[in-house]
Amino acid sequence: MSVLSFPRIYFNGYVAWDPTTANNNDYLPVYDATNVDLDWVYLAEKGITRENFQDMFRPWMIRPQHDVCENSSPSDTCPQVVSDTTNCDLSMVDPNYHMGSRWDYFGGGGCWFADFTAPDPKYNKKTLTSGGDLAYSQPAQPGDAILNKPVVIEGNAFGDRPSMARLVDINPATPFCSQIFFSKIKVGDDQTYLSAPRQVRMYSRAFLAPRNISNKLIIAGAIGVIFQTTMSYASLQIANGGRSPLLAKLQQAMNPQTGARGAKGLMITFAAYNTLYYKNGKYNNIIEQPPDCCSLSKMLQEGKVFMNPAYSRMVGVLGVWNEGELSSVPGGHQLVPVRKLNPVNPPKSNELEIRAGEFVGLAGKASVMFSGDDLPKASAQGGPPPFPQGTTWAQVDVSQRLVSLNMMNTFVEFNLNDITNDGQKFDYGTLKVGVDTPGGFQEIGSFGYDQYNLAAYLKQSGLVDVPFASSANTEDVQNWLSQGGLALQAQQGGQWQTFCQERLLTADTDSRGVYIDQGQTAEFTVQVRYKYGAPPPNTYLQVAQYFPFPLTVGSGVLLLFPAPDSPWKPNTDVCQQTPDPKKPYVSFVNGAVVPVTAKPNQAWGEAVVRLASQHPGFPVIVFYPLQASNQPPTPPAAQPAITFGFPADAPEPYNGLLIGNAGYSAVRVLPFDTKPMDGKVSPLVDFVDRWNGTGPYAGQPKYNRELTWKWIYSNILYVYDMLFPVMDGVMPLHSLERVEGAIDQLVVVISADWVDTSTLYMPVTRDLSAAKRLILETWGDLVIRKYPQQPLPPLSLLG
Amino acid sequence: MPRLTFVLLLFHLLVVGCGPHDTEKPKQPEPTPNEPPPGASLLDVEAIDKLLGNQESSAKAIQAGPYEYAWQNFIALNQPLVGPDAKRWELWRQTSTVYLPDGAKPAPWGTPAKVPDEVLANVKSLPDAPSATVWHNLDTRIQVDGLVLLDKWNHDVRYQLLMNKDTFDYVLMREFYNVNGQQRAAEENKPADFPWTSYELKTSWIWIGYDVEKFNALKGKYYIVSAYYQVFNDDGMPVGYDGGYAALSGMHIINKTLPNWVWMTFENVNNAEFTQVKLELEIPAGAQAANQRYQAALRSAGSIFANYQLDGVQTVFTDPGGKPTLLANSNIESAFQKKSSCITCHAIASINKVGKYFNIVDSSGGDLTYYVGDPPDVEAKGFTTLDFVWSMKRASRQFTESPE
Repeated sequence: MSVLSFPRIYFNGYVAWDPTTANNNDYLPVYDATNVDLDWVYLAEKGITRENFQDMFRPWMIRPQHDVCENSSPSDTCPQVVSDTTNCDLSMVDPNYHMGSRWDYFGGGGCWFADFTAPDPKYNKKTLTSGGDLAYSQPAQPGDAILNKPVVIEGNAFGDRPSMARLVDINPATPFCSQIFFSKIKVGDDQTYLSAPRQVRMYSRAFLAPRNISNKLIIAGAIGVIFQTTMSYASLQIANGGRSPLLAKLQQAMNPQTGARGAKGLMITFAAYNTLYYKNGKYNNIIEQPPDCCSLSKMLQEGKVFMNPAYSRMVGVLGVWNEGELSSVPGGHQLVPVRKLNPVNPPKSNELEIRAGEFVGLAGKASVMFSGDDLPKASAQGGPPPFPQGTTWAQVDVSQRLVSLNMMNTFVEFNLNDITNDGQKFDYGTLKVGVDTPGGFQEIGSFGYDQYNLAAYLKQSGLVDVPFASSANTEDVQNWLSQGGLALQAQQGGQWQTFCQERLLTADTDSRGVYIDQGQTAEFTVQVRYKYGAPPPNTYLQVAQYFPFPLTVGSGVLLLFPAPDSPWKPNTDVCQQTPDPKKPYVSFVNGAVVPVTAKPNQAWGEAVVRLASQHPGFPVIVFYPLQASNQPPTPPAAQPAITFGFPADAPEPYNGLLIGNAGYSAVRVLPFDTKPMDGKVSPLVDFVDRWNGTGPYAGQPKYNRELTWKWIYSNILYVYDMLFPVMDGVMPLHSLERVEGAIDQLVVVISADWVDTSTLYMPVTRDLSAAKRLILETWGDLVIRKYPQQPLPPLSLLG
Repeated sequence: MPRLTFVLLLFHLLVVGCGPHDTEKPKQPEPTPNEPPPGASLLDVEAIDKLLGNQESSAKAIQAGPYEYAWQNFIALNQPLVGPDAKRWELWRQTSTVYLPDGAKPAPWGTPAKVPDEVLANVKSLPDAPSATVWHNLDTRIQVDGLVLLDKWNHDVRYQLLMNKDTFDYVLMREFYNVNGQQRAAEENKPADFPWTSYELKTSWIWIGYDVEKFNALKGKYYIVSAYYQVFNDDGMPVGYDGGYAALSGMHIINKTLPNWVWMTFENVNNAEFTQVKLELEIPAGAQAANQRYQAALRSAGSIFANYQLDGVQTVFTDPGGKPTLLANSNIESAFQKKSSCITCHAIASINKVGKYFNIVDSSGGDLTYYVGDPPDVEAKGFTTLDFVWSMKRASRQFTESPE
């Protein structure tokens, strides 16, 4: 079952993230993502208009600006004013000032596994296979030919070389819907390798926030996530010139012909966490090495052009993918946190790089927030506040008398003194794994801190194997499992308490990120399981439409649509804005409650969800599996907000959903550009009028190259030209000469059939509406045909 | 070399000087393929001209020694090898005078190209700089993949295409100098079929302008000419000219001695130092050997062209093992050298009945790359072939009536 079974190949290293950050400013509503436009209302307050933006916007973006929502976060803040003479002294930082472009204006959306050779090898940042297990208690030999070899993730070929894989958030304002588009993952060297082409893109899963409580981790540094994908065995390329027993064993196990029943191929899972920013020169060879926002602003103002990627620590596992296992969701029984945990003998808060006080949450992608004393090294009273842990997945192998736990992203960490990618795990003492039965908790086995501390974590990439206690005979365990769900216990105040409990009925999907265009419907399958097996008869799936709050700047909460307590008003303060209740983003074509079906002898059930686009925006469709006894379903209005951590004052055991363990699809309903908006005709009509010299352009030159280009730029390309200046080095979007010169390439990279697949799709952010794509394709056709002097017929998405 | 717009060269223009010659191809004694005529030196242009003047002997020479053949072309084209006079190819027709912005019929062969007054008015002389014999209009900076290459001073490398008289004559005869004529060929299903004497060149240039530092860095290493280019604003409107000097960094040479043309490319040996790219395809051993011999001969003759190397020659889509053949110039196919097959990409040069050119991008599998090996069947997709001549894509439409 998944990477929890054997054999396994472990790897670890670092993931680099080079997103373009101008479209996801958590503090300034620069980008109107819903309409794929610059936020002209906000920018007008700054003196930036449709008339002057080509001169004003970029210089404004590379300077600190005052937040629209004050005191939202102290993360990645700047001095109020930065000029070329500014002395970037940290004492000048103002908590209410952030860069307009944020930390990576020249990011290209790339992500990759680090392979940096430092002048001193001890500072190398490599991503390598680190170990493996042929079977339980049968570790691979350290000299195995597949070990200590590079792990590489690549994008599609651009010219004669692979492009980067791409990090794309479905909703740029939220931290809980990241996707990795890629083309291939390769493990090994030229002689001994496993090469796996993409079949399913990866999504961020199982958020743990905070995973590391250091207040020196800025931006998304405190968040830990899991990414996963799978490939069919037939698609793999394997060479074992080095005669690696570990690779041979994995190959045999993945092969449907030779592996265990149900083997389908390869599963790759990795956790990314402890993300560090401003690391140029330490994780790469980039010459410009700003240590902070202030220096970054200075360098950009000096005209320097460079990327400034962030780097996460990463551990991962390669294992066997089996029939029925979702590609992008970790396999196994899902155990979710129900109680916060206090560590055993924690470092005192004055030794920790945290703020004393109560954890109150994360504001969007901001750092960990605490109330109370906000001095970094506060009084030496006690340790940190208690935190909920992350999700764990478990497999019970009765025949092996073994429980295997996926704890890649389970335990909260801390850093002493300097911050690094490696946080120490809090010590929660000995932990028990067992079953919550009607008769109470039944222990299957236990494990100590030595199996989940940092060294153990790095050795087995966060997987923990717990043998059955001698007192737990096989029949008893089977009996317990039939009566209840798995649970984890820790000692708190002298009492054993369950802090993590199996969610018996689960629902999730590989369609985690969904793009829907105007007039489109989307259909996807949700897998429903009970105790990671087939659901009982009369199981249903209820779907509910949520929205991220606040809407346009760093969102950290999911609220049910519509927001009953926040009646929508036009022009509501950005910091409190909710969507118009009259404009749901999607409708549920086959209803909000759909049946779950399971074929005979199938260990899972399936429900089909159909969405129809209703209004542009970013709904999050949350899954609530229900058994017949729950009928009629719980009214959606009763569903609470979904947050990263336990809501304040939430009673324990907490049984609500968290962003880190809910099943959901993040949806982007793209702009409806065929409809008249704001009193204007649709772009689809306006573009044809422009070319034909009709409508509002009557009397102006017809079939005019220059005027039509100006329309294309000012209605479509300008937003990308402003937000993604990295394009200047490839295809400057403000230059007709350059865009015409790359027209063959342009019409290919915007192809609709590349949206869900190619890493080279443009725009990388995937926010081109169907109507604007049609306009660009039509204009591209005019360019290629050298502007034939003929009228265009009306354009229609219906063809 | 996707959409590389080379110019055709009529062989007999190579024979002596640059004046017009008759197009009759006298029968020549068949030389030994792959070798200069007996008793002649490597630089004996008369012997080379004789060899290249006969299709049969040329074809045999290609088969027997493609690298030798390529160098013979290079030597012939660059006559005189020393001295300030214009080289033969410099007197060919720059495509900027063939494919006119308004799609009009170009002026007859031999008509001097007009150099913009703004360029001439701003001429400056640099110490040791050659006097202008021919002004080169380096009218594009965009490579076929849509990208630009920068030199070490962060200026765009620029490009120029030229054609010989027979190519020019054929373009005129078929009215291919505008899209209308090309589209008509598609409508009438009359593919292009250039004469065997056709030649095209594509040249790449490091821009010097009047920058003394750049000039001093490049002089003695590069062939330097007087040049200019038109500057456009972001909306594609011309706003003036830059004039000055430019250094020849690369030269594609193609001719139609073989039905699928012969594809040869040369570049300056110093390009890795002065541009932001290096040659990534290995120069074949035979080409390296030819380079050594010809460079030594040119050095002895005191020619600047001793600083140029043959990168390779391409005459077939695949090798005997079925593997795609590749050819690239670091300054012309900079970002896709290892996926560059000139012959394949030019084999898809074609246009359809609505005047749309075949897209050069191979987008299969979500990749953005270029065709290598056997080309796709463009005719099956409704396109009419342009006989490998992508330079025709530089043509504009001729507007017979002003839009209302």
